[in-house]
Amino acid sequence: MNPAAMDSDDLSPRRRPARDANAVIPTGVLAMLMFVACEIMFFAGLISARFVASATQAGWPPPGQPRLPIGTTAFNSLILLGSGVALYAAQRALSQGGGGWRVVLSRLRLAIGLGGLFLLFQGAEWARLLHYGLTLQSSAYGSFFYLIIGAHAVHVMAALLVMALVYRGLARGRIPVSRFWAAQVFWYFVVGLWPVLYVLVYLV
Amino acid sequence: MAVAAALWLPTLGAFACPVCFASKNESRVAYYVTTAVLLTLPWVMIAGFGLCYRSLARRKEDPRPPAPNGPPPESADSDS
Repeated sequence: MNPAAMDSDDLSPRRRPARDANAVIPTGVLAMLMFVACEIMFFAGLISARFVASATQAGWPPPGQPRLPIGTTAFNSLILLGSGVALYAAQRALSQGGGGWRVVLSRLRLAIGLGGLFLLFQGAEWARLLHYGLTLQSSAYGSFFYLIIGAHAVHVMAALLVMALVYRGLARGRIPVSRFWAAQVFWYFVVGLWPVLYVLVYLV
Repeated sequence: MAVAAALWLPTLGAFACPVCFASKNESRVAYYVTTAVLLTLPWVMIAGFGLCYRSLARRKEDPRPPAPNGPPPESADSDS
């Protein structure tokens, strides 16, 4: 990490300017929005399949299958939502110029850390559920749970990787700020999707 | 006409359609609702993006819109 870039409190001149600075929506953000739209349709398809499958079953959850941990997952949801708030605070510091790069990067670190914590909790929860007998093969209930929540977890991992790369790029002053916005769109999608999945998979 | 009738009549016997002849009413409702959601969602996203883009484009053209009931902006060549 470049100490000169880290020590600077200046929010703009050191950063590499974007080539599409005059565009209404930067190209990277537009591409990310299109990707997110595709992902929304992907998850809508999974949720639809789960609802059609549950409607054809005699009971949902099927008898003999463990119930999903609603309370601990609600707490975990708060962690992920907190990560989204931290990223929003980083964006506010970036756009308003309050506090300089130190504040932006520290809030970005917090967002990444909370996202990692969410994944760790999810992993622990999955280990517990596997121990109780809920597997991919145990029932359609288990299959859809691991498919939908697993797909979301993969997206969280990918978004964390993107955020880490953006953090490194911003800290070194090597990438334009529009890359941060693109990563932000991805992270907001991951965070915003989770409450929907929590309600539709865990509660309904 | 005969060709159209020949194409149309066999479809009347398609009793294997899982949507129309699902055994449970809940299944049929689930099919209809999920189909409606999946058909509507892309249009909602496209419309949302269009509205958002228009708003951003207008904001970029005119970054500071005048306040609706605020005082008029002071100018150098005003009488007062």
